[in-house]
Amino acid sequence: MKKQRILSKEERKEQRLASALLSPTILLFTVFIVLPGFYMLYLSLQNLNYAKPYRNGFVGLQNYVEMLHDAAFWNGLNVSAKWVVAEILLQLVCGMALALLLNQKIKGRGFFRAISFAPWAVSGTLTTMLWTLIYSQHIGVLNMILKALGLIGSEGIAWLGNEKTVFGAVVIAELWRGIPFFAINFLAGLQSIPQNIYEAGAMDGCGRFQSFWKLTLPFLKETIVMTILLRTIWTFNSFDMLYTMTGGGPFRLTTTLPIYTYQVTFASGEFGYGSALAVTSTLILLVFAAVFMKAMRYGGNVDE
Amino acid sequence: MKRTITILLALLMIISLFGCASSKPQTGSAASEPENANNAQATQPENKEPVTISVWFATATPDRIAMHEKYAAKFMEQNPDIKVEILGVPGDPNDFIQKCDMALAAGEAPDVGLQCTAHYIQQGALEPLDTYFENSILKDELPESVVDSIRANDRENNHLYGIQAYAAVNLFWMRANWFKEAGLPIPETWGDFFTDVEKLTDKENGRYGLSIRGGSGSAQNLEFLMFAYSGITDYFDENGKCNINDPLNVEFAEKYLGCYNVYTPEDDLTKGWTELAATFQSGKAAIVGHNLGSASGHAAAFNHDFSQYQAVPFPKSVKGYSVHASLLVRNGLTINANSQHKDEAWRYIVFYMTDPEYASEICRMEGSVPMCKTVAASNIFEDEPYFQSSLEYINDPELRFFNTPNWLPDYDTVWAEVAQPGIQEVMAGKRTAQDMLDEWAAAMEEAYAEYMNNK
Repeated sequence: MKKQRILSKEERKEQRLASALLSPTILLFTVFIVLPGFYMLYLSLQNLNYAKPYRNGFVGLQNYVEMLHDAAFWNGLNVSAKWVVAEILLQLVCGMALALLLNQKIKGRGFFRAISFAPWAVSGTLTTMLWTLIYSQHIGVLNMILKALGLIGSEGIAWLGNEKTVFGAVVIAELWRGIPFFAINFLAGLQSIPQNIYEAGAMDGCGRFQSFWKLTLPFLKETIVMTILLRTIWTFNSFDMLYTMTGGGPFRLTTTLPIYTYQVTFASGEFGYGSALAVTSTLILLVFAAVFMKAMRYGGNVDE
Repeated sequence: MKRTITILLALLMIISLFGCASSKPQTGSAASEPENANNAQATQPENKEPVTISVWFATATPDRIAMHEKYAAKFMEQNPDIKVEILGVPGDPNDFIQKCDMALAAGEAPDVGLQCTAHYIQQGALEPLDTYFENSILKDELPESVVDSIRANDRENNHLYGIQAYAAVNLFWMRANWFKEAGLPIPETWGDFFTDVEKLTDKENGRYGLSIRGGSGSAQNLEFLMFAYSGITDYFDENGKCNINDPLNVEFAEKYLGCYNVYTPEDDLTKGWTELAATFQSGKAAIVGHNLGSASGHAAAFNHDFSQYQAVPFPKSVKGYSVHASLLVRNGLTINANSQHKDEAWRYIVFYMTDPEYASEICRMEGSVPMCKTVAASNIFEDEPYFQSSLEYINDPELRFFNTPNWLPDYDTVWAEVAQPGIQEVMAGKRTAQDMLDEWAAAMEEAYAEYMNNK
């Protein structure tokens, strides 16, 4: 067992100072994350509906049992999974492509970077208004362009009202908003890669693809892993744009688990069951984060 | 020195956490959300400073909020001991209910504004208004039938929990000029209605005979149309069987929802009331089924040119008489049971009900007809023909009402969880109207049985 070094008086003072400086964060984290989390867990073991006080009370794991038999829960989970996989894959590929482009030394690079990252600054509700207008069957610019090109008929397509197109339509709207986050992080990572390795690679006969695969990607690994992890969690929990664009419809085709949780809790007033859904979502994300980080061996060194 | 500075910074961060608490509400009629409404002015010295009451309104638009603030200012001039804070919540009624529910859970609900529904009565959120009502001028102003229907929300004790100020009249909005161009009279029977919908559809030129509300609010919309067609007036029979899946209602639902994407735009599937109104105003649909609430929007879009658009009451039912949903509008005025200023809240309610200028603007802007006899008898609608005709229609002694079960706590839940997704499925041809209405009826019967067993 490693023998603990005895700290000097000065070192102990430093530690106390560090603890003091961390205390506001710990306090905030406890008050706004930990305590509500425990309260949510407590509520998940209750029936709580203010309009039906005769049903309220402790029910143990009944809400979780009910969830396993709830078709709407499995539908929500399925839609969430498809939503996350589609978004992360597309944002990863498009974000990387954009970052590689913006890393080139071209005239007006600063301007192109600014407009590429602008969608990230737009709020979810504003994104909804923008894309709802774009997708509008009668006045939307998308239908106008497609009609002008002769690709669709005079009626246009109800992109958000058609079961064949609604999921793809909302994926593209969120993709537009999400690419900049990947691009920003990858660009920062690209700029930290020492250029001499590319020179060495070129001398060894590395082509562009090999250079990207064997040199760039290993250096970007940590950035890629952390970006994917963060975006997966945010995308899974994403609510504002989806809910305001489609309300989870039509036919629950865009009802992700967070939207279903919201509907159960606030539309139906079932705070207990809604809390159980929220606890389950949290556990899913925690397990994913742990397994993903382990699988990617996050924190390992790049072989030089 | 460095250590001292870092300690001071840490203390500053901790102190800033306490500074994050909200400040007291601004005085005056600001539209910002009121804080701690139930404790507002609780510590004010007696008779020294005005008390503040918070008033919330649903389905608010910027025009409506401005109107309510204008009259709040007038009320405050007449009542200098009271300050009114207005909050208008945009969106559908469901959005308002959700905001109110969250506010109630947090102890931040308004003094005036919670809806008069069993949902709030059951949880003791509303103050009984019987004493206030009996001792006020409103007792002689409201029709007895209206007061009785509000009392019916409290099936156990028959208390009066809300005051019905105005009523939305359900009707069709029709493009009168389209009918004239096609040489068609405005339909007076349901048969003519469906025929005209077909004749007025010209997809090549971007015109549709009808637009259907398939999104938020679709269940309520379909309900009032079905009962207007079938002539049924009882939502439940004496044994608790729900009549929503009566064969006549099924017949209507099949015909009406069967128009989707044949005589209606494809994007009807997800339309709420604002999108429905926009479809009508942008010249895409000849007919939409809604209420007087969209009147001000249509007036602005068509520049008050009544040759272009017209409000048309629903045709008589197949039984030979007209049926309308019970007039109880959920945003009848209530007082929060936890309000610290109930007397002041009541004074605001009386002003809201009886001020003729306020009444006139509310009716025009929110598309309602007044319940107060004095206001209804005044000439506030002489420039608005459809308001006058709606008032005559709703006061016609031949008109019958179907009694919506607003006293049932799960009424809204069944709409949101069962009926609305089901309506979309029927529109898209994924299930039959019979199947959807059977499921809707079963859900309502289950809610009815649960309520009766536990009240």
